[in-house]
Amino acid sequence: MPLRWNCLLLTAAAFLPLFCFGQVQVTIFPTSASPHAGTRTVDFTRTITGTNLDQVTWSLQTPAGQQGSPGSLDNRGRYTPPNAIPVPNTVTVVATSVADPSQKAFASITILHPYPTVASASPVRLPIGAFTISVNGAGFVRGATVLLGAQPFATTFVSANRLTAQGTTTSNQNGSKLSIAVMNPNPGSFTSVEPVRVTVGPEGGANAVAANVAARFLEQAAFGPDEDTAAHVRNVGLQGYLAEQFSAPISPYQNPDTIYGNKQVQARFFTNAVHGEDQLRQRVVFALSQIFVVSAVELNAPAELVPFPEILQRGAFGNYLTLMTEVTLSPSMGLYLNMVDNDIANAARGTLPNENYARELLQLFTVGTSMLNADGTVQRDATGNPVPTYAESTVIGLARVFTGWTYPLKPGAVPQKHNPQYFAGPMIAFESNHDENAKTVLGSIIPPGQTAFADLTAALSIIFNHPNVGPFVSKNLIQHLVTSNPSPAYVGRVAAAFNNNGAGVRGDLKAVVQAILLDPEARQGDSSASPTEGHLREPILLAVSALRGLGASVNDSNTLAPLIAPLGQNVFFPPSVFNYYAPNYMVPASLTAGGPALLGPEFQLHSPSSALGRADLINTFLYSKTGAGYGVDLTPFASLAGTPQLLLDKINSVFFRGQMPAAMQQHILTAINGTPGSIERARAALYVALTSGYYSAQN
Amino acid sequence: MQSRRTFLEVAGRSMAGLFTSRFAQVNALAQSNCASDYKALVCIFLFGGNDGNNMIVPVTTPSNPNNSYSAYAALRKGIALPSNSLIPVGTPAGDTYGFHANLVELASIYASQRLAVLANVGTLVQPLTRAQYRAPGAVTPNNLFSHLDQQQQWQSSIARGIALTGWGGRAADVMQSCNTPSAFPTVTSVGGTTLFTIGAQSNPATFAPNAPIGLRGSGSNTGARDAAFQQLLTFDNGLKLVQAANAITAAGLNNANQLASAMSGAPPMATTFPSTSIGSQLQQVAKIIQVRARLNVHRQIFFAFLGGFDTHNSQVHDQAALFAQLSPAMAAFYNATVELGVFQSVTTFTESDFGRTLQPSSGAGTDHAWGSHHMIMGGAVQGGRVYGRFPTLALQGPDDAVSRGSWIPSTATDQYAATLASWFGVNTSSLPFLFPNLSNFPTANLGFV
Repeated sequence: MPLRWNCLLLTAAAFLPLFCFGQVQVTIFPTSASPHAGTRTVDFTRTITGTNLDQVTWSLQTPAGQQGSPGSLDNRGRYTPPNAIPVPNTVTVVATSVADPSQKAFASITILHPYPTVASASPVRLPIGAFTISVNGAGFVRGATVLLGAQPFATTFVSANRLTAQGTTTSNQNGSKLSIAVMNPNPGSFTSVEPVRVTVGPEGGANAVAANVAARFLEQAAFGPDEDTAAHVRNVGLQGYLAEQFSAPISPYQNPDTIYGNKQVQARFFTNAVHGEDQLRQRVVFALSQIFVVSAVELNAPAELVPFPEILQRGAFGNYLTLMTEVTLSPSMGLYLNMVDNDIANAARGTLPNENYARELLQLFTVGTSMLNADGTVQRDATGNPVPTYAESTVIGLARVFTGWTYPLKPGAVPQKHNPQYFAGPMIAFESNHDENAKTVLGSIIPPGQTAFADLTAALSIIFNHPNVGPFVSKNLIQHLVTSNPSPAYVGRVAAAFNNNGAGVRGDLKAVVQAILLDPEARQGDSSASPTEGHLREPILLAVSALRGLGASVNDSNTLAPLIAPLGQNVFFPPSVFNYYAPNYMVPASLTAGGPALLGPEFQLHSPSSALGRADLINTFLYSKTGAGYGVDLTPFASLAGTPQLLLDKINSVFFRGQMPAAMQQHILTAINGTPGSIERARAALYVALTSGYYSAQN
Repeated sequence: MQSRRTFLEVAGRSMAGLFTSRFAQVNALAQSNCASDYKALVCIFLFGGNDGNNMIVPVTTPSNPNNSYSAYAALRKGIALPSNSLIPVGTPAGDTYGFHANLVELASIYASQRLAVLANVGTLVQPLTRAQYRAPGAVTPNNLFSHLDQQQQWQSSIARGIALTGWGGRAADVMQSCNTPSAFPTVTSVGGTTLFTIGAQSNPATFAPNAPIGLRGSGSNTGARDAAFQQLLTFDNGLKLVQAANAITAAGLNNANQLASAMSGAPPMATTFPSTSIGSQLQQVAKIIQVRARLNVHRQIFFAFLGGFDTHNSQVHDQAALFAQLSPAMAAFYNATVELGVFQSVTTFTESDFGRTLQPSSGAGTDHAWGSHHMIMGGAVQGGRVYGRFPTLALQGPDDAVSRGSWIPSTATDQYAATLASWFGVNTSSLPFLFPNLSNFPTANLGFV
């Protein structure tokens, strides 16, 4: 080994040792470290110069009075942290030269709290209200906090392996799944990963659901699934999703003063339907808008139209009587069905009050033409004939109830019998134009001498409390959201929720919507499809569902409305108060031969030519330049096209809940394999999938 | 040598022949009068309830002395049409009626005796007087005055009970053997699927006016796609609504292929149509009639519509605008049938939800009523006459169901439709299948065609 000159000096000259000693230097690397307690080791290395005795001794130097283990250091400089931090939480690693023990090098170690890990929790199901939960795992320290759904709860330290926490859950969380994590405090604050979950609410509430169940639920409770929302529903469960959705902020319509035409209102409909975070509200409002129908055929400007969908948005999860009242007093509806400026009988003109709103309120919005049993089946007389709900005298009486109402007062205007057109706020009464005589409505007498508002309130209360309303409204909403042919028992269960939400309240739409979507008959198809279930996706639903699944982006300059209108559904422009189609429309008899006759309301729009129009619409989505208002990026599909099975699997999972029948899969694979190029393959596969009857008819 | 293509065509033809002969047996009883001639019925449905009281107005009617223009004007008041606006037309009985001013083209066709009016026709189960209607237990149509119910009863001619089929569809059921071996449906709607068009066995073809016929989007890269699309139409996983949707799409494809092929190279017609909805619909009907020989059909039923007749408000204004669309469109269609040489083979008629109250409502409109007047047009029509019995224009009068001038029909839709069906070739033995209540009425043929 080569001798170094300073070492020669050390051995040759006795007066030179100090000089030689001065040459010995020890350095250490790293000079500091901050390991978490209970974690793996830290290796220190040292360098010595100025001596050929290349040896050090390793030691730990602890602060005076330190409590707890400082960890350990072996004779090769490997430091092992303790399982818990000492106090104070510092320790110094010292490397001392053997050749010159006065020469030392130092590295400082700050020991941090351990990483917490959660292994289990007890109980796994929390009650609604106050709870105590034990969280088991490792690495817990004093001052650690239990987090439930990312929220901190009051925590008691039991041991490094157990914490307890206390808190309360609310009914809004019922059915939801909360992740459990533990956050250790500083120094080295850290939150556990890979959380364990607990369920809120009693047994029998929803569990976190399978992927197909989540996706199917979004076909009923939303405008169809997209991948993110479906994943979210899997986490929070069906009830958890409903609870979130009931309080989600409303996706608004525009201020009518800021836009120039109803085309923009139509565009906003699609923006909201495709992207709105309040999917359930958007879907329920779409259904309600086909019960309480107005049309931009008559309401020509945004100022006339927009207040009406706003009423439905506000009222979708409120009380049905409130909705009836707001609709009745809406100037938009007033103009559409002639209740605004409805005059008292006028002998000189030979006129009677206008019957239009009175009749359609009864027939279409509340009780229907035939007396219903509690399960929605029609009551029949001895000859088998339906029992009428009301006679002409009720229509005439109700027309008189609804006299005297005119437009709300335009700022600066003076009240008169017929105010100038104005659509902000409810209609107002002009009492001298109100018929004050007694009226009979549905067999109840409204006494004479009442104000327009008192008469209106009395009449709406009589109608609202008619036993038909529950089954009538329930069946109609079921048909829009779930199935064209609900069993009477299903209708009966939902109607019971309409009649009483469990807290003695009649007409609670939140309870009705929950009852519809969580009913066993709605959920039965999660596991096995019955041959007659489901309903045809109406054109708007088909289009929006396809766009959501495609991950399309839509903005307020979209022109989707005129693209879909040729299929018989121009949004906000139904041809009459009877909507785009009738709830009692039957599937053509020869198409259900050999089985029971089936209701198929949406089939009224499904003529042979419009069936081809559906395919053309899908073709446009997939093959056309989409313009400024909406964009479809097929890259996520096209990028899989090199492996046809992967492309098929994605389509299956996004649009068919992973349940596409095998024979259909085979046809799509054949189409993929017979098509050149990634993007063309994606287009072909999506076209075949989305134009299929299996997609068109939601089951 | 027989090419594969030829072989398939022959096989297909003999398959069709098999179906045909079996079908002919099923319909032996319903076999009807269809030689090799051609006949078409064209229904124009006036959605909303056309106010017949302002379509044709009695001016001086010696045969019904209770009616007069002044009786009409006294009750219609603010919405009475001015007498000098009406287009006067006569009847063989010496009465004078006035057509609405905007029906000028139709009044002219009436004058040339190719258009007839049927007065006060409507839904009935059996003949009914005011006294009978007002008595307890009266046998009346279900849900009078309701748009939906009354539309369905007009279209089905079943005024009480549930109708799953329309009378146009049932007429097709008994007449489609006349079109053998053509696979083109007997009924074609240019106004979407409606109950009128649906039979027990037959379903309509539909075509939207002014729209390309058939599927779009096929190109050089879509061969495999289009094949899979077709294959999936026969895919059956047992779900009824999926089956129905597939069957409709398959029919749409077949119908479109046949029509597109038949229309290919057809010369343009000289007759011009107004560019209104009803004008375009009737033009589409004329174009299909034009290629009837290529479609190889001998009997066709068409459905077209015009909406907006629910004139609760601004009756005079709104109806005038609608008549200004209806009359020139119907006249153009009549002219087209003349151009095509089929004016004696094509009979066009109107239907509507109901009539409207003679007494007006607040807002210068009229409310839902019952019986109304309708028009029948074509070269086979015994026109220039008012058929049926015109109601007495009086509130709470002998024809008023309630109190506002809602006419109890004096002629049933069944009689109206049976007259048309008989002309079309439905034989007497099949009439009860089409019109179950027809025997409740004194005559099955009103003689207007």
